[in-house]
Amino acid sequence: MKFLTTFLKDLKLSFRTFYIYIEIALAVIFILVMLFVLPENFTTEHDIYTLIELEEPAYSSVRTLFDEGAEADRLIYLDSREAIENALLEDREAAGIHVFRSAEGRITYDFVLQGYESPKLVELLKQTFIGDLTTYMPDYEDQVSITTLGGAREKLSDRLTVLPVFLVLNSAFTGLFIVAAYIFMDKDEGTIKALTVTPAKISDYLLAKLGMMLVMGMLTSLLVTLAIARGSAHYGPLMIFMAAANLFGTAIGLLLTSFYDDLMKAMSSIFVVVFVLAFSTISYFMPSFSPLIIRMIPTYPMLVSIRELLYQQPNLTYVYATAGGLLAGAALIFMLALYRFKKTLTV
Amino acid sequence: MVKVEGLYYSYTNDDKYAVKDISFEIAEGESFGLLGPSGAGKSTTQNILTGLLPLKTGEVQVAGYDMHHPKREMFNKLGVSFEQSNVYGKLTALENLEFYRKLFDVPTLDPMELLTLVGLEQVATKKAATFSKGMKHRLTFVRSMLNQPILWFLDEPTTGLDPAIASVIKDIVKEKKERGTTIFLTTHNMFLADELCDRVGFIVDGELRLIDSPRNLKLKYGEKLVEVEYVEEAVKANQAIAAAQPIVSDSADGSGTGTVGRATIGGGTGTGAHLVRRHFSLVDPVEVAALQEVLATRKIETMHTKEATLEEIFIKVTGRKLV
Repeated sequence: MKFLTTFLKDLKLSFRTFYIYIEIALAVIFILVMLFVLPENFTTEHDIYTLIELEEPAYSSVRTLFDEGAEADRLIYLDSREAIENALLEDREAAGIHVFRSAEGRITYDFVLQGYESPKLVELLKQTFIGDLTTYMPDYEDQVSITTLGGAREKLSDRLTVLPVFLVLNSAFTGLFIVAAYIFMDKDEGTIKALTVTPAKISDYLLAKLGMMLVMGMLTSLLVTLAIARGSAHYGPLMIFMAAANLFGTAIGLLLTSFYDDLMKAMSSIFVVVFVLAFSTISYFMPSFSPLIIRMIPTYPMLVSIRELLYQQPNLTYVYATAGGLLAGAALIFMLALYRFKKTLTV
Repeated sequence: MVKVEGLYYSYTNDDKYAVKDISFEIAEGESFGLLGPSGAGKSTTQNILTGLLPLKTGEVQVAGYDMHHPKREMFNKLGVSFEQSNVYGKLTALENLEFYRKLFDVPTLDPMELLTLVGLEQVATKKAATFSKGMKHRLTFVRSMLNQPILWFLDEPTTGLDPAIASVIKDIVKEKKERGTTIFLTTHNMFLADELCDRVGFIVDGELRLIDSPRNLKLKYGEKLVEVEYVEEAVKANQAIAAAQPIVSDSADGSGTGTVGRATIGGGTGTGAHLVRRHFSLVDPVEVAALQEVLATRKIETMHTKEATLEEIFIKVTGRKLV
């Protein structure tokens, strides 16, 4: 009952302070940027400015070869070498290819690049092109097969791939930032002292803060996921997971605030914690770089779990195991925070 | 209601004690004032009694609870009014009280009636952040009454309030006292303590120097005085000034060389006579004789008995001023 009273009071207070609106505004800005500024997939098509200076029938053969093999890249045919070079000066992401017959009478393919490409990339480009040409040889048989150890997963759009980062750093860790602000406001106003001389327990006070942050975290999670992922998320497990992640984040926030008297003094610690937690996004976006130390940061399994819940066939065992771990961690950290608050507020 | 024995407290966990070897008892229904200057140990003592500071050394019982093992339910019996206002600025006055009343497990007073009691009924639905310092203080004060405490801790309850509001607060405290509420008052305002307390304790540098009723303290330490205003012929006026002796000191060091009680000369009467105001000690035979002479030979305009204030006694006993 006292928990409910304190929780409702905190909820009322939260809507009368600006912190919660910052949280909601961030969610709305994220939605707007993801939907209206950035494309669904960040990989853009690179224009290839092409000049084929060959007589027939060689011209038609090469043209067919290019048109069939270009796939995603866009071919733009120009009529002079100078035109290719000018086009590359205008478009710094583009590349060019000039096909002509050499003095010896051989068909020559001359790649025109910007100059910033690494030697590895240049060589890769060259070998890929040669490989592509090889497939057109008579009696060619593809003897190459590929086996992936991680299993074949569906590919999420870049927009969906970014979504877990927002959900972790904004919705799950709402508490880490904002609960600190609310508790320091209580300390500054002295209301925490007034509460200490009532029959309400400190655990009621801290649980109410957890509850308030949970509501806010769930609200922004749902809002952002509905806008970005729409029907492609598994909402039931996602909300369960986000609740566990949010409780974990807020518990860390409570523990941090128990060591300080005001927000300014606590800022450096909060910054360090957030900085460390954000490290896991590197491995999330670059799976080839995922040392154990980064995979041990709690945000890493959080990111992976949320991504799982955006796949059509999620690994729910992994997701629920991670959620269980986060809940256990949240409970442990909460107990530590409670001990600290009892020690500093007494009774 | 309150029993304190051999209480020590150090914020730094060493021998730099904020309170040292304090012992006292407060009976049920008694009004007790802990008086002392800033930093004397008043708030430390009250904070230990209200559980805001942990009890380390000594024995303290509050409303039947051992403060070595305080229980949350004890706060159903206690009311604490803080010196610094501490209300939720983003909540209205009424919302503040409604929230706190729900935290108690005992019948509570109607928040609106409490706000009316201290003249805040017109701003009941306004956010406390918009209140003046005095209004916030009144809100903090009535919040401590919500659960009808049997033991009421008041920390500087009238500090910073205008005289009219301070008078209202004093009247409320007096009424509660008459109804049997035990009161623990911490203040440096001796007039307030004199008016509200059955007994007072003087605390200086963390040590409780003396405990007694204001009346006994005045009888024991204060000199009985008579203030007389009489008409003096012009020639005799200068002699009267010279005759007037300092009677009670208000000097900072308590050395007794102050100027209170010195005779002063009023405006002329138009006939060469002047009005003289003079204090006479009733315990000093020389002063008594002088008074008798004045009564016999001069025209008396006004005459009042006057006793030493608690503040003067505090200075006399502790050698320290209150501010």
